[in-house]
Amino acid sequence: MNRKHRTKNPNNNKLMLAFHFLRALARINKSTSTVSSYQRSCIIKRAAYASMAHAAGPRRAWSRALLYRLRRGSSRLHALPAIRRTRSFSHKRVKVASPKLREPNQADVLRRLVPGGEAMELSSLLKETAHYIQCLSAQVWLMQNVVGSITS
Amino acid sequence: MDINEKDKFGFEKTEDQPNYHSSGMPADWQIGNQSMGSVSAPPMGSSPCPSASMVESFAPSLWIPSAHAQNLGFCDNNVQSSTAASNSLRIGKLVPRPLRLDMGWNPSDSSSKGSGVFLQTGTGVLPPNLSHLPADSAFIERAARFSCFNGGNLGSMMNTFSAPESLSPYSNTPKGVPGAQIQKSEMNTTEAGMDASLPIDHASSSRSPMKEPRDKRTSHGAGVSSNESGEPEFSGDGQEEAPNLASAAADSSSTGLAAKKRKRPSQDMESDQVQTGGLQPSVETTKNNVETKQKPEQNSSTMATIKSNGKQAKDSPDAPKEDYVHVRARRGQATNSHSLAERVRREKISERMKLLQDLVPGCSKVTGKAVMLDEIINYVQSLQRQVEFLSMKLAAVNPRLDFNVEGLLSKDLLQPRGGPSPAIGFSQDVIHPQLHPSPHGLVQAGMAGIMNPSDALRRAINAQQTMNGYKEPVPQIPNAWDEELHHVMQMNFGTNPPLNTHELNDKPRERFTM
Repeated sequence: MNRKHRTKNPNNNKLMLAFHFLRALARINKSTSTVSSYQRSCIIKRAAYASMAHAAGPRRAWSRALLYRLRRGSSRLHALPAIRRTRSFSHKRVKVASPKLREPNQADVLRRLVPGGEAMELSSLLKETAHYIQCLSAQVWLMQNVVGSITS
Repeated sequence: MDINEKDKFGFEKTEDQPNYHSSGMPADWQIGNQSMGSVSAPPMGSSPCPSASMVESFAPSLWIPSAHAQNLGFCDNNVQSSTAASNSLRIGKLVPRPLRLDMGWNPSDSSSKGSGVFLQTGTGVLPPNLSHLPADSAFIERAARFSCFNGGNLGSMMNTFSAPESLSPYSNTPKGVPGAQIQKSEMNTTEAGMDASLPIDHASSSRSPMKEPRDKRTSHGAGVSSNESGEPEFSGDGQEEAPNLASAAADSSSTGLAAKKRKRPSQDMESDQVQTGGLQPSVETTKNNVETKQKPEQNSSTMATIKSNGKQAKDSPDAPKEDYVHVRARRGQATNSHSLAERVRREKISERMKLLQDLVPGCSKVTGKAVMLDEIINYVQSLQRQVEFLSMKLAAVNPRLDFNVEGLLSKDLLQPRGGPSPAIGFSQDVIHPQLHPSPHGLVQAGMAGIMNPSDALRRAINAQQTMNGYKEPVPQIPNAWDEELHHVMQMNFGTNPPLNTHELNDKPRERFTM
């Protein structure tokens, strides 16, 4: 069953992705409320991640976590700034390296990047990362094509 | 069945071995073939000829005077080489069940069944027709060894046998010897022989045909258990040779054990390693093991039955545990359960890192976990930044989204999928909201054309959703078109529940509850 999914997944995934994302785009376009360009981009970004999570299905941990995060309406989808802030803070204030503010190793960084990766051990984290990379690259490809077709 | 086999073998023997110097040879061979047939019949109906040829191959060796024990091995080699390598393998795999002793032959089923049969007789209970054969264990062992070797290595085996000092041919021999010994231990002969040879015959390519079926069974580890049970018998016997062959055995056993993955109690693993080492020495110094071999050979018949039963008994408790990954400690590694679990975890992680290496572009040359993780992190970050950038770009151009969406869809979606109609239908669907403010005439004209693509799209989406394993509700027509197309949709799709496109977040809830 899983193998069948994997073999048909790339094309199905891209089609589902396109369907969700374009529909969301249409919806966003329809609701032409006066929002700034930045807000609009944020909305589109959230729509992109939502469509990605929908296309991936509820079977993946990262898609579930992503949808949960979106539903909760968190303003920040990524934790990238938080990493920098933590490091600078540790340099300035903390003299002794306490275990809480230790230098995050790569696994922790990856955990923050991949949605839902906080509570995973390394092997499953790597598996989720692989799938996440696949869907992210599909999403990027789709968005590039949309932009390309619109601007051309 | 036995009688039929016997007739066939006997017939072939008489025809094929006219040069036997004993008139009773055909009769003897018939008897031998009978036992061989009985041995080979149950497991393989298709391999009577190979086993017959195997028996035939033994014929010349059997009839050689006992003084030329080495020649026997030589003949066996020749015969073996003449027969297909797979024959020995097939014969070894033949009898899953212990055979009843015919003329003192070992009923155990092992890869070197032919040799094992003769080995059993060599215990000192040689059949009357074979009484002239050297009853030393060395001969039996050699016969067993050669019988289970592939033809490719027989030449080297032969040379080695005449000059038993060389260890390289013994890379093959360990396969034969463990097989022979396994027969004596009467493990599941086919699996035992295969597993026995598996750890030892790592370097031998000629053994690959024999090894492959064994490889498939390594996960079950039946052969391992059988191998190990056979080994303890010989470790005691080959103690004098243990130091000699320990080094030789270590290499093969380490590689063999590494190839195997079978969880076993820690004590068994240690004992197995010792036994594997013990097997090697006995194999290589068969000439010196005449007296030591007697004991195992005598017990082989009984042990074969016992071992096969034991091995089957071992298999049954293992069957329910098959959802676990069975891991075996490699030679020279800690056999603690924690370290084993650690090793399994590390191997899983490294396997997943290899998968990620294929996904991340430009990481084929990167080795090492840390560097690889850095690359992965960079790649994920870059992809996320790209999404952000593209969404900003889309926000900037969004007001002009109405025009080329269908072109985009048909162009891009068709390439990966090759399905024009759903894409076109989808594009039409997306265009609907944009077309709404356009002149109504255009809308009316578009409706007729849109209907079919929308149907096709929805059917395609439904088909894909069912394929994906979870049913996504049929997307609702954009609200702008509800009044125009909704009735059409109902007509076409019947009971498809319309989905409110406004509630994008509702969909996941519906989907997840499916």
